[in-house]
Order: sequence, then structure tokens, then C-alpha cells
Amino acid sequence: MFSLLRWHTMSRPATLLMTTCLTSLVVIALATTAFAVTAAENERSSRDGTVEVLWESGYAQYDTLLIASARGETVAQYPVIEGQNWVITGMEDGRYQFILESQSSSKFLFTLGVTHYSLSAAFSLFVAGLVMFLYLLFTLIKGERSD
Amino acid sequence: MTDFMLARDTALWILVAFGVVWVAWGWYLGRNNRTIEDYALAGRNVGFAMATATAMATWITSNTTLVAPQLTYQFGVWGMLGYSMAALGLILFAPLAQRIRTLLPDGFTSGDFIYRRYGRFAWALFIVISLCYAFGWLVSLGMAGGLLLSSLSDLSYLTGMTAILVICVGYTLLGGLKAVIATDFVQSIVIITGVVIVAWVCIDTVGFETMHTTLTEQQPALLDLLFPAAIMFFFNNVFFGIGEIFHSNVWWSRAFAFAPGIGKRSYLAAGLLWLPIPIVTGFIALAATSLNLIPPSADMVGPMVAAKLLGSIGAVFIFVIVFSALASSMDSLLAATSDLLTQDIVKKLLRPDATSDTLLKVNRYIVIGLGVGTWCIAAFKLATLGALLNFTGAFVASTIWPIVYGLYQPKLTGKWAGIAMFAGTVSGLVGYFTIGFYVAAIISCGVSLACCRIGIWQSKDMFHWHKLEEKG
Amino acid sequence: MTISESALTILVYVCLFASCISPLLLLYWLIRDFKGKKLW
Repeated sequence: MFSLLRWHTMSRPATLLMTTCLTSLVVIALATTAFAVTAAENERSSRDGTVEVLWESGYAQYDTLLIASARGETVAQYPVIEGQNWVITGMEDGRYQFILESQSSSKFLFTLGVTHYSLSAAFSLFVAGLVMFLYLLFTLIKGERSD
Repeated sequence: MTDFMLARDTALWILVAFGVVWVAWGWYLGRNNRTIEDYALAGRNVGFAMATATAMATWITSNTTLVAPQLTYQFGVWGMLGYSMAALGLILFAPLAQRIRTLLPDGFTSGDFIYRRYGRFAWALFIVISLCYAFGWLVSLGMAGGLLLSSLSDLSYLTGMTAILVICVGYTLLGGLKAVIATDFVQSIVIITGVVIVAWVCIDTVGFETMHTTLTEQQPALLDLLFPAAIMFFFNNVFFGIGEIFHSNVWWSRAFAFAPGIGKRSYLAAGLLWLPIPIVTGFIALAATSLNLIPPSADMVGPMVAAKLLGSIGAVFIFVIVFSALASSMDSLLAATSDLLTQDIVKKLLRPDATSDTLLKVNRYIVIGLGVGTWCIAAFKLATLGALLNFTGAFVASTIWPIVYGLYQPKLTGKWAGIAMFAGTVSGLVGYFTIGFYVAAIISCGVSLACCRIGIWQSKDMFHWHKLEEKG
Repeated sequence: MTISESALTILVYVCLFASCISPLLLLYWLIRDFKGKKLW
């Protein structure tokens, strides 16, 4: 079937460039997965205020998942449902303690440090996108007008 | 999740009822399909109402009902506003739809345009990108069908997935694009009505005051208009959405199918009508904490809240809404992908002299083949496919500028359009793995733009638009 | 910068109203096309 395609002939440098790019891509993908960092069990971090708490079999004896601020104040509490994970979102910058509680006992799970991405980084990306979007609008309007 | 399960029999009856009605209607609409143009392009004469409804319904996917609440649950107000911006894809495609119809009155696919405008090199890259995206979306829809229907009812994953594929393949096979469009119309009414009712009940039951107070105490970042992660992702999502629509044959085939003069108005209307929907579906996620609900995974927050609000009736509601959202996208994908494979692979490469009858037959076989292929891959429930769809952002965003310049700028050659798509895709993927998924589409689009501008700047060629009317 | 309760209310109500209108509009256009024999 390849003989039917009659490929547009590409120059050697272009072929080499594309092969290099593809190979680098594979290497980077492998490297990223190979060196994935695992956090310590009782210390986690989040850059967007979201955390997933996975269910473990020992949790069934507790009633509530409590989230406390660094000062010990309760920020939120959620019911414990057998077999079900928790996805907590919307937390602001700060350090939080995740604790399972029942009437008679409690279990400390981990500490979560939330550090949101910097606003300047966020806005830089936003502005870059906005500029490109406005240029797209300009191109389309210009194209329509000269139609 | 067990407190809103539909009984197995109820779920099966709903599926059987939908299946019988849709497939019968598909057969009825398809009985006058004589040529490949009747089958693939509904006779090239679709009116405004059907055109607008199909554009809306196809763009309301399971994602609109699941991911909009998920993004709202993760990123708050910006999450739902950002998702809403996917309407820009439809709105900005409006002038393109008109231009496409004008330049290629006899065109069938997006591949037709790229081939005639840019030549084989760019066309080959474009087809790879298109098919990667189409298969990724098709399989993820099949998986979503299985997962959702099994989580909302006693049906197994395989039963749900098989049912939705069989029904969609059935009426698409029998009726072609007319069946797709007609069912899309009904499905759009069902989806919008359903989500509006859920939203009204949410406001009535929880109320904005309770929502706002609870969120301020427990999830304050969700009300933050300066939520950094959400601001970061905003334009990445915009370019992902624009890239999806600009390149995909799902939308190009409609541009060819709509009657002359209809494309621009209907895409514009569809985009404007679609714009508020993610906000209506998304905001109910803000009520989760007020209802003392904590989702086991973020994408289940929408169905959980809706079911809590509506009780056992809610389960039927959500089931029907989700089924309609899935089917309205899956049928379009089946039709458009089979068109692409028929016209761009079979006709261009394998059987250039094929008659309309042959192509019609081949197109039908391909629809079946796509259904079977999707089933086989989705049956393995490969978890990574959700992630695969995420990084198709790098692929599809790289096609935006080659397509826009292809339609309006005669100086861009095929070589540079191809380089733009390749370089954009590669750099987008590098960005995806090294920085994060929230930069993939934006980097891809930016690099692609740079390559196109270089190509235009150094070009001495001038493409003559009348060449598009010559069959390749 | 937190969105106020009233701003959130207005945003959602406007979108809800627009979404209520859209099925009616689609049906209106369908009937118009059907009468004008411009369905497809």
C-alpha cells in the first residue's frame, strides 16, 4: 500500500529532524513515568486545592472524615461511606490535617500542604492564550472581509 | 452510588425502547438513500432547524453532562465558565462552514480539502491526526457508555457498552446522516429539558444562599475568581475545543451536508445556544457539599447531585439524559469517521474508480467495522484512554492555523502546513509530559502558528482557489 | 476575589433562562422549515 501513496519526497535533514523529535518524545515520556516522585505517606501536597483520599479496609469503623486547619479548627467534615473514596476540592493555600473520627477513636491520615500556582504564572499563560485567540479572531475577520 | 441505582429490568426496558424506536426510525429515514451523497451527506440540503440541532446535540457529549460538573467541582466558577468557552469552537467555525461550502461544493470530507489544498504530505499527517482523535473519542464514548450505564443501574459494564454501540451502529447504518441528524434533534430537546429540570430542582432544594455560605466555609477556592489553576487552563481548553471542531470531519461533513447559506447561521446559532449549557449542568456541582455529598471520583459529582435531588425518578432522568448525550455524539462520530475512511482511504488510495454504489456499500461495512473495533478496545476498559483523549489536545490544536490559513491565505504551501502540524503536535506533547496537560494545546497551537507564519513569509507560491473544484 | 452570591445567582439564572428558550426555538424553527418544505 505504501507504494500507492507516492509520498511527497522529504529532504534528508527534514526526515532526520522528525525522527529525532519522535525519539526524544518517547524518551521524555519514559523518563517522566520512570522518575515519578512518590510523596511520603503522611505528607502530601497539592497545587490546585484538590486531593483524593483512597479507601482502605481499616476505615470502616470510623464515621467522619475531618479536615482541620493548622490551627486545629474544623474546615470541613464528610461522611465515611463503606468502600468509597473521597475527592476533596476547593481548598485555599495552607496546611490541613486529614483525620478519621468515630465516637470513641480517631486516626490521623496525613497532612496536606496546599500551595496554589502563582497568579503571575497563571496570568502569563492566560495572556499568551488571549493574544493568540485575538489574533485568530483578527485572521478570521480579515479573511471574511477579503472574501 | 447505590442509593440511586435503576433496577436492571427498568434500565433494560429503557434501552430496548430507545433501541427499537431509533433503529426503526433510522430504517424509515434511510429507505430513500440511493447514492453515497444521500447516505453520507443527507442529500446536501439540510435545513436550518435540523442543522442547528445536530450541531448542538453532537457537541453536547457525555462530557457536557459529566465533565462540566467535574470541572466546576475542581475549579469552581472558572471551571464552568471555561468549559462554556468550548462554544467558541462552533461559533468560530460558522464563517469556515460557509467558506468550505463555497470553495468545495462537491466536497465530502475534511481530508478532501486538505488533499486538494496542500497535497499528499500534509494530507497524510492530517489523516493520522484525524483518525487518532476520532478513534480516541469513539472508544472513550463507548467506555463512558459502559461505565455510566453500569453506575446508574444494575447493568454490567459490558451490557451497557454493547447496548449503546449496537443501537448507534444500527440506526447510523440503516439511515446514514439523515438518521443521525433526526435523532440528534430529539436528543437535543431531551438533553436540554433534562438538565434544565435538574438545575431548577437544585436551586429550589438547596438555594444560592446555602450554596454560597457552605462553599465559603468549606470550599472557598471554588468561588475564587482568581483561582490560579483554572486561569492557567482557560485558554488551553479554548484551543482544545477550537482544534477539535476545526479539524474534525464530524463538523466538515455537516458543512457539506447543510443547504447552501445555512452553515454559517446554524453553526452560529448552535454555538450561542450551547454556550449556557455547561453552566447549567456544571453549577449543580457547587451544591454537592451543601447536600453532604462527597464523590468517590470527581466525574461522578454531576450524576450524584442530580440523583440526590430527584430521588428514584432522578435515576431514570439521568439515565435518559446521559444515553441521549452519548448517542448524539457516537452516531455523528460513526458517520463522520466512516466517511473519512471511505473517501480518503478507500477512494483516494485503494479504489479511485469506485462507483457511488460501491462507496455506499463500503461506507456501511466501515460503520459496522468501527462499531466492532470500538467494542473490542472498550471491552478491555483501558484506563489510559481517558488520558489519551487529554493529550489529543496537542494533536488537534496543531491543525487550527493550517486550516484557517488554508481557507483564507493562498501563500501557505503544503510543506509548511505539514511542518506546522508535525511541529505543533510534537511540541504540544513535549509540553504535556514535561510541564502538564494544561499547556499541551496552547503550545501546539503557538508552535503551529509560528511555522505557518514562517511558511507564509518565505513563500513565493500563490494557491489558486479554483483548483479546489478539480477532483483530486 | 470571591464571586458574590448575587453575581452567581444572576449568572446561573441568565443561563437557565437561555437554556429554557433553546428547545422552544429549535421547535419553532423546525415547524417553520417543515411548513416551508425546507427540512432537508
